[in-house]
Amino acid sequence: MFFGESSAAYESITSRMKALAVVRPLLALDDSSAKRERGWEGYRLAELALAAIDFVTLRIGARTAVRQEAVVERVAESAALQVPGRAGAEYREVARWLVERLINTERHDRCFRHEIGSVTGDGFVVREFPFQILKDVPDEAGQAALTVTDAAITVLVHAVDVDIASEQIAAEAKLVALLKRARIGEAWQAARTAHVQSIRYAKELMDRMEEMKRNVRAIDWAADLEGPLKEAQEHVEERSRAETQLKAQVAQLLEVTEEERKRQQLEALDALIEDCLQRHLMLIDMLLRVVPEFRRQQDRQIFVAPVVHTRVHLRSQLLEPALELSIEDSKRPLEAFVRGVLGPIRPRVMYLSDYFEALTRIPEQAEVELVAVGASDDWEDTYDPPRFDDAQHAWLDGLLSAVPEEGVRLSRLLERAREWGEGRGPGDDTGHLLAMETAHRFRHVPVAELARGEEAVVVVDDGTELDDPDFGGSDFLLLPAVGEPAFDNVDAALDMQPSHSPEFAPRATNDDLEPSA
Amino acid sequence: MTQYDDVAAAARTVALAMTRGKSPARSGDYARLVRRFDTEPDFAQLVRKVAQGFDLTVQEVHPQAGLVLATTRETDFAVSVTDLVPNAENRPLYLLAHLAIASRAFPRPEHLDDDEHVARVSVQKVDEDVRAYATILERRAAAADEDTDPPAGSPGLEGLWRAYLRRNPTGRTDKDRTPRSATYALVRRAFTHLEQRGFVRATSEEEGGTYATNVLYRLHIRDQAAREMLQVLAALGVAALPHHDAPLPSEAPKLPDATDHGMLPDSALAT
Repeated sequence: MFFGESSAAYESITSRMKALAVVRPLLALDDSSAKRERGWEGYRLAELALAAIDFVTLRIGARTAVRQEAVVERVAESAALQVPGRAGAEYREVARWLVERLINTERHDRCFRHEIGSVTGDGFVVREFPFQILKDVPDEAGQAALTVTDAAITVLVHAVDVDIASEQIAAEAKLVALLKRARIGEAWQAARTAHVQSIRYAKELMDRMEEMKRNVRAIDWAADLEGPLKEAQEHVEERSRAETQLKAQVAQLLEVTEEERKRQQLEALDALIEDCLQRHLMLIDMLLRVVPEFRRQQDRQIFVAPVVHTRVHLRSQLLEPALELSIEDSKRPLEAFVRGVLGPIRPRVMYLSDYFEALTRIPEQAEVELVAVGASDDWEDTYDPPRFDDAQHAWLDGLLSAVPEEGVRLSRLLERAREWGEGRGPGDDTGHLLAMETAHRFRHVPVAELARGEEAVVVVDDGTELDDPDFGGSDFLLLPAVGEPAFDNVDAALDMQPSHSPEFAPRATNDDLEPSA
Repeated sequence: MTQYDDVAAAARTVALAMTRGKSPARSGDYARLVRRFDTEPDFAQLVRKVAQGFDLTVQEVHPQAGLVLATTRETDFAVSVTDLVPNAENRPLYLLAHLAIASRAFPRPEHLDDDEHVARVSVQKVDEDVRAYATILERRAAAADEDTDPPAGSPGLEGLWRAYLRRNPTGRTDKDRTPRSATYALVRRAFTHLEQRGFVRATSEEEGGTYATNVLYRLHIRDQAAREMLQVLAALGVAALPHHDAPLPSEAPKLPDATDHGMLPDSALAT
């Protein structure tokens, strides 16, 4: 095969076209009809997209993938920054829509495509260049999560593809210089660039390890692993040293800086460098794991027979035939399928709280029309019949207002109540009402009335035993009493129960009126 | 370590496999057990025997999903469909919804083998898939002038496709008093149950609800559900060959097929 001058020159054009193609889906976001239709004109969607990609890139170092919700939350924050004053739900809606556009959920294979020309041995050809930006992958626990593709990191995070190691050295030198001149804002930028470099290293290693897990045969130890491993090891050692120095420098600057804003910037920078160091520790850990992992995968994949599955085309071999069956015939095959899908479950041990949950759970068949449990006017229809009628209350009020000056015993009043009650037929219980009223007045001295200078009946227990067929306890003495109008704020003070809040109640009044129990 | 400790470790492996949301990647304990399963044949055998005691079978161990267990017909540890869907009239369509979700998530057999495959499936797309094929069957029946009404008194003889088409996608279907769910609600319920068991995760409310699948869901379908349903269908005398867009294992695994976006197979489009 012959590569002429023109083909070599065109290679560069092809590769730059590829880089430009990756930018296109982002720029297209701001021209999309959805932006206009949904009233999102104020948002700078391409910039939000970069925020999303940055966030995923910075987070995938520690774990291999990021939950979509986390990305959406972050982008929503940036959206709120761009267009303040909208509802939080709108920001999240914008963010979710945007993230899904970056995953390209509208296309079944999720790929963006761009036609790019290249010169090969056969001459000029136009090929479709498929690429992705954000990508759905299973995280380490097998749950769906997002990662960012190499294409996106290279073009959208880093702008140009250059040798990682040399750029890192440059970035660090710049950082040191900036720190010396205490231009902290720029130093932060430089540190962030160095940070991204480390992440790229980690991702590269991670990809190799993943590849190894899938198919160990695809990896050539000497060519694919030995060299890069050594390089990465050297890189980590050097960078760790450099970053430890930087950290010391930042600490020194922190000691001498007093301006609050600069201090904050320095602290942010410190945190970033700390994160870099953590990342290096992780890289070292990965480096230590690569060799044993390689051996383990070799054992697993080469010496263990691969699992053989029946290859089933779910739609044409299961779904379509099932639809053609009758309801009755379809039952068994479908049940077999669903049993398999849902897998084994752990039976639950019932605790008391589970019974509560089970009893309060709304049944699944919510589509049944619910019968109204109670109309609002239902409550007005029901009432409790009063225990004592109005005549009894009126009679008792009369009795109490006629308590003589020298007082009257409860036993005497009970007699009169029974006499009066006889006229109302058997089973009259005016005596109960009287006993309750007396007991109430004994416990709650009518302080409010007395303080206002009104007349009220007070109940006193002088130790006399009550001799009665129905009631027991003390034979109370009922006495009429008149209080002296007390000081101005007495109303307010006496609204409170004296027994409950003695510290607020006027002590003197209280003592005067307390029955000598 | 005594043999009794080994039994305890094996039982623990099975217990972890039956607990929702456990992964070797997130639990050092689980990771160690999975490594033992991989490297010690005796231990692996012990785990299989413990599972057998529960009437379960061990399908495989997976670095992300851990130990993958399958239920047998006898086991008490399987989900009762009657509990999931108390209404007998909704049950067949609910079961169908599960199959339709899976077929939408894994449109080609090789997707079931792809460790990186994450599908996003929406209620609307699942419903459209089933409705499209049911409509084809309806036209076919009409063209052949078949009587599609079930005999009086045995509604179970009605075709599943017809039962599906009688329901609207959304809202109530008819004025009678039978509590019937719209098909969206049934698909949604299947998704909800999958989500409760940690097989899918809701990603947005678009298209009636969109969900992303995880690795364990794929393994359950590949290792057990698809195979067993195929066997039951075969026992009923129904054996469908995969369509031409489904390559057999002997064929090249990837054919560039522009028309395949998980929509209708070609034969369906031609009708």
